Amino acid sequence: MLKVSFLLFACVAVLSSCAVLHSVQIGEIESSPDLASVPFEIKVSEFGIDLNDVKTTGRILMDKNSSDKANDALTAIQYFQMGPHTGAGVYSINYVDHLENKVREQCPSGRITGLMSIRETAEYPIVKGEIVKIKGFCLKSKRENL
Amino acid sequence: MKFSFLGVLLVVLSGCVSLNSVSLTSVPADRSKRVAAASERFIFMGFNFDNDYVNSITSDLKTQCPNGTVSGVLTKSESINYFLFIFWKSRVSASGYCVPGKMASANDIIRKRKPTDDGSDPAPAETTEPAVQ
Repeated sequence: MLKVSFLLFACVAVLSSCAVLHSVQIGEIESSPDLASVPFEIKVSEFGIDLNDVKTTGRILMDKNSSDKANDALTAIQYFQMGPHTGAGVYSINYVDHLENKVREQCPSGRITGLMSIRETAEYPIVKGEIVKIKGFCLKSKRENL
Repeated sequence: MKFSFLGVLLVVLSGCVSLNSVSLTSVPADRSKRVAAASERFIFMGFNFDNDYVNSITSDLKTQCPNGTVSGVLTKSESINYFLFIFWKSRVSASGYCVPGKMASANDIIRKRKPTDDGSDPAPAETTEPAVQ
């Protein structure tokens, strides 16, 4: 019974993600009784790998000699990833390049208000989801919205 | 003895604050009506499964300025650490200025700029100003 409970707890811990908020930015907010605000949300993400997690896992799964070697190799990689950043390192930052186009697709009229940019990380063991979310409202005339 | 107990209590109960991010939009000339909204979540041992608590800020600000534009929006994201990052709070606050009636011109733009069927950018609205010779 204890084993099953422990296994369940471990499964929940491994499969559930913790959300870490890095930054929030809110733009100007317009409102009028003549216009309807239609909410929209865009989310883009990329895989990130936390090398410190990899080191810890290596220490648990490998023998001391192998884990020391892996540790040295990972430390060498980490020297090339130094500098200010939010979240874990990703292999490409191009995933945020088309955000403007995606916003235009959501609101072709271009009347966008209350734009909120959220940078967050969904943390799983070793693998991290590096997320950028854009939320906002598309202003439409009430007649157009019907 | 009493002094050290009070000192420990003060250290435990007071929070250390760290700032994650700040942003500011252009500040309007009319700064007569200030609006503010904040949203926070108490986090235990880092267990936080979403950041949806920040969504309410925009609608809060919108409610406070129903017929105008909220400009000069200062957004702050901060963490308040109560005890060794076991108990901490994430807080996002936004404040700005409500400029009433700014939407009148926006309505005109809406009337002039009809969206195209294919979702591409519509042609710019015709201006009534005379062309410069």
